[in-house]
Parts: sequence; C-alpha cells; structure tokens
Amino acid sequence: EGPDGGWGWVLVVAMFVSTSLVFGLMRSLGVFFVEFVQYFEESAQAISWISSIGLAAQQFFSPLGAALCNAYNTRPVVMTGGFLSGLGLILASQATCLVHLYLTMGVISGLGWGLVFTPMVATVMANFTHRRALALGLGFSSIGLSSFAFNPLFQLLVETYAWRGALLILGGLSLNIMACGALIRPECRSKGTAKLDSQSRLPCSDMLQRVSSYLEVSLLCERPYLTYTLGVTLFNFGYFVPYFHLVAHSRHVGFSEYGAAFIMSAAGVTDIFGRIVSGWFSDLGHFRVIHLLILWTVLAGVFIMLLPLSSLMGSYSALMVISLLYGFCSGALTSMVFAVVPMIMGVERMMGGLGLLQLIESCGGLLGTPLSGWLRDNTGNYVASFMVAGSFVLLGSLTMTTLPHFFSCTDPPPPKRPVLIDNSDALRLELAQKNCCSSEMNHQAVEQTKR
Amino acid sequence: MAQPSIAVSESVIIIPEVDSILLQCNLTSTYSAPQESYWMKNGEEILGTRSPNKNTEHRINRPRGDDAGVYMCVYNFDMAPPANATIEIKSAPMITGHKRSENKNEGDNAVLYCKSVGYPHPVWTWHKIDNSGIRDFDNSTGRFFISSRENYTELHIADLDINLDPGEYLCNASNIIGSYSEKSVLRVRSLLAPLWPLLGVLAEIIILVIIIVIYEKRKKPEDLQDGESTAVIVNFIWGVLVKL
Repeated sequence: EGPDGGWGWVLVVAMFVSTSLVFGLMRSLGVFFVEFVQYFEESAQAISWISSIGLAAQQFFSPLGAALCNAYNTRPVVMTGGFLSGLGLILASQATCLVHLYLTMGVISGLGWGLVFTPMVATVMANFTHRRALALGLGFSSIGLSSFAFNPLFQLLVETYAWRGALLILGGLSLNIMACGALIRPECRSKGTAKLDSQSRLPCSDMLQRVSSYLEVSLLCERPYLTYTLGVTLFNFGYFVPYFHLVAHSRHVGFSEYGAAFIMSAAGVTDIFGRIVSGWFSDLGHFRVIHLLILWTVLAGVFIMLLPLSSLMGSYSALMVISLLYGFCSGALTSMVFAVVPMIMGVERMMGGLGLLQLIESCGGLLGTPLSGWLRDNTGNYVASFMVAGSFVLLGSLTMTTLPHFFSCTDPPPPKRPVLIDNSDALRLELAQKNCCSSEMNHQAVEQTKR
Repeated sequence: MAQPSIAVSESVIIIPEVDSILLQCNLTSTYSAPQESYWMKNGEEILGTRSPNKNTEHRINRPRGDDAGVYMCVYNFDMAPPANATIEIKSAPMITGHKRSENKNEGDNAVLYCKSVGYPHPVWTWHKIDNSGIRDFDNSTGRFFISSRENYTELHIADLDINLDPGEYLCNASNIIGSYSEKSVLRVRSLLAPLWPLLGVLAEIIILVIIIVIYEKRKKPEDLQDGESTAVIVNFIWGVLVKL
C-alpha cells in the first residue's frame, strides 16, 4: 500500500505555488508584451515569440528534468529550476534588445520551468495512491486561480515600477519555487544507489545505457505508452484552440469586447472547478480513471464543436453556456490525463514517462494553433477551426480506447520496469527499498568511509 | 468685366444655446449665371454642397467646437475666373485631447500634449501647479521645450529629475472668445524603487528555506543522521564532479 496524505498535502501546497509561478506566470505575461511592443518597437508577432520559446523550452527540457531527478534527488533539481527561472526573469529586466528577451525569458526561464514542473507533478503523484486525482486537481487549480490574480497584479507592478522593475520583482517571486523545492524530502532511489556504486571511468555504451534508463527511453517501445502519448498529443491539437480563438470568434460574431472577455473569464472559473471536482469524483472509486478520462474528453470534444454552432444562432447565452461547460470539461480532463499515467507505466517509471509525455505532447500544442489559424484565414471564420479541433479531441479519445484492458471493469496491475541487474545488486536494491532513507544513507556513508 | 459681388451672412460665434447655424451667399451682380457653387471649410471642400444655384446656403445643425473655422462659398463660371466669399465661425477653444497622466523613469524624456478645437487658433501657454497655485515654471535648467501649432501643443521635458519635475502641469488655450485649460499629472519613477520589494522577497525566501531545513532536521531526529541534508548536497556535488 502506498502513501496517502500526511506530508503529501504539504507537497500539494508546494505544487500549488510552483505551478502557479510557472504556468500562471506564463499566461499572464500579456501585460508585459504591450510594454515590449511600445519599448522595443517590434511587431506583436515578434514579441509573442518570447512566450512561445518559453513554453517550448519548458516542454523540451521536461525529459531532462525527469532524467536529472532519476539520477540525483528531486530536491536539488527543483531548487535549481526555481533558481534558473528567477535568474532568467531578473536578467530579462536588464535586456536592451529583443534577442536578450528571447534568451533570458525564453530559454533560461523555460529551462528552469522545465526542471520544476514535471518533477513536482511526479513527486505529488508518488506521494498519493487513493487520493491521487484529487491532489492533482487541487495542485492544477492553481493555474486558473493565479491567472486571475496575476493579471491585475502584473498590471499594478508595471505601472508602479515600469516593466524593468516589474520583471525584477517577478524574478524574485519566481525564486519562491526554491522554497517549494526545499519541501521535497529526499527519498530512496534504487537507481541512485546503482549509479553511485560505480566509481571507475565508464565506457560510452554503459553511460548511454544509464542515460537512456534515466530518460525511460524504453517506454517508447511499449505499446500502451505509445498509444497513450499519441492520444494525448491529439488532445493537445484541439485543446488550446478555444483558449486562443474564443475571444476573436465572439468578437467576429458580433459580441462586444467585454462580452467576449467575460466568456473567457467565466470559462476559466469553471475550469478551476472542473479540475477539483473531477479529481474528487475519480478518487471516490466508482469508475476507472481511464473511463472518466474518456468521458471528459468526449464531452470536451463535443462542446468544442458546439461552440461555433451556438454562436451561429447569435445567442450570447447559448455561447456562454457552452463555454462554461467546455471550461468544466477541459479542467476535468487535465487532472485525469496525469492521473492515468501511473496506471500505464507504473509508479517507478512515472518521472521519466511524464517527461517524455510532455515533450511529445508539445508537438500537438505547437502545431494545433497555427493549423486552426490557417483554417480561419482560408475559410474566413472560425467554424472550420473549431470543428477540426473538436474532431482531433474525439480522435484522441478513440485512440485511448485501444489501450489494453480498456473494456474491463477493474484496473489491470501496472507494468513493472524490466529488471536487468545481477543478484548482488538486486539484494542491495531490496534492502534500500525496505528501509528507505536511513539505510541508504548508512550504505552511502559506509561507502564513503571505505574510500 | 465687373467683378461679381457676393452678399454674405454675418460671422457667427458658436455658443452652447445656438441650435443651428445658417451660412448664406447671394451672388448679386454678375454677367453670367454660375456653372456651380460649393462650400469650403478651412481650405477643403465640403462634400455634397455642389449646386447650380446663385443663392447658396449651408446649414450646420447642433454646432460644436470643431465646426468652427473659415468657411468659403465658391462660385465657378464658364468663361471667368471663380469668385468666393468668406464667413468665419468662431468659438471658444475646447481641449479635446490630452494625456491625463504620464509615468516615466528618472532621466527619461517626457512629452505632454494638448489638442484643441475652435477658431481663431488659440495661444498656448503651459504652467506648473504646485502647493502655492499656478506658477510659470522657470526654465533655468534649460530642460523644458514648448512647441505649438495651431490646434496642438507639446511640452518636452528632458532628463527628468525626481525631485523637481513630478506634479501637475496645466496647458492653457485662449483666443479672443474664451479660454480653456486641462491638467496632466507627471510621475517620475525612481530607478532604485523596485530594489526594496526585491530584497523583501529574497529575504522571505531565505527565511522560508531556513525554516524548512530546520524543521526537517528537528522533526525526525531518529531517522535522519547528523548532517543528512548536507550529505545529500555533498552527494549531488560529488556526482556532478564525477560526471565532469
């Protein structure tokens, strides 16, 4: 039986704070972009590359963060990530040209965010078994809440201190992630002992084998993981489209600026509710998590397709209702997507698996929005892009149904990582896992005194 | 050939009670009928006023400040040069555009502007408002520069000083009919201002990390050995060095 609660709730708070400082911050950078356009006299598209590079770096470096956590402990990795993200913003405050912003706010902060997000999520998931989805839902609800709070806060900071001062203060705020990382207790790492044992210089193939084991590349050869990743990538094709295009679509149909913005805010509120409620509901155990995931994704896909249809009738309330429902479903599916992961690959491989998942699903996010923009440019309205987005989400749900044991009523046992080491190492590993940290520290202290 | 003579209605001053203004031009003596006539405002033709009449009129309903200006009725003839007459519509100036507040950093350059409507074009003056009331500011430091055109004025302040320059500035437009003024607030941000909140946040983080580490050391003394967390950090650094 795994852990459930106790220190885990403290980690949920840490995840709440760090996720809000990663994604909530990323979503609220729009306030700065207005200032950048004015100060650097560049086009809005050149400025929007900053957040694209940041998001891409965060997703690209996720496997790196996961591998580092597998190699060393999670705590130093998250603290380094927090330091880098704060450093990137502080350096950005001294930027004199746009390329500086790309490098600091984009690459350095993105690297920091990548080192923070996946390890925090994996740590929280490792600390819960029965309440996993609820813990994740609570943690992810921070993204919606912080987007609400950060937008006016950043506006206030920019007005009081100018954008340079505001970025400086934001960098300081981002360093709070280091405090969150400090809350992560070091844990027994069977991989860690296997690594620290070898002292001599290693031949290349051995190093490669260890790196690939840290990155969990072996997961790519397993059909369930591949199916799941493909499904999530298809979700990402369609998931972001409403967030990017709903406001433009509402204005296009004829609603006022404030009406369109209010729809987005209302969808954001139901998003927060959806995350927490779906987490709580799935933990009740009445249904399998994978079935709930399919339910929420099918509903989300249907509502995306209904969005343009409801506004075609010209009714504001119909559009508002569908948007609220879509917000709820999209928040609900976010919690479920991560909660299903340990069932597919087992808790030990979760860290690396999450990292790879983030990297691969980022392709969907990167390609989906330009595709919908292209569709809109060619057809003249947003109906086609919403339809295609909704169909991608439904296609992802279909892909998920091909997962093994999908139609059974109970969860199959999670697959174990293939163990390829000899007996003495296996014994040492068992000892380490049985007595957790104290025995491992004893073991390492003994090793150090031997040298 | 005698110059054609045109009888015009009088100049008008726009005041709020006036509901509509009627401008009239009558071509009194001429040797031939005009081909057409039209109205111009401030040198540009008013569209939709072309007509073949000798007596032409132009009505302005609910006149506002930007209806003021120099109006001209123009007659075109087949075989003679065109003839025109001028009517002025005057009004008191009204400031239609100005920056309510401007936030700039120390050492930057600030620009405050005011736009007005009305005719005749006003004379612009700038003043600074402080505790003792409206004052002319002294340009002894040579950092203030005013450039004014007919309906537009700009106040340029170079190299903002955080002690002398913040405050309210008044732009005043006056002509023979009346005058109007608007206030703009200038705020100067200190370059060192954001450092205080930053130091506060850094101090908070350091205190939090110290509290967390101390709490962890105290909470499980039986599970943790002395210097457990330092052992983790030492292992991490050692592992990095091995990789190097």
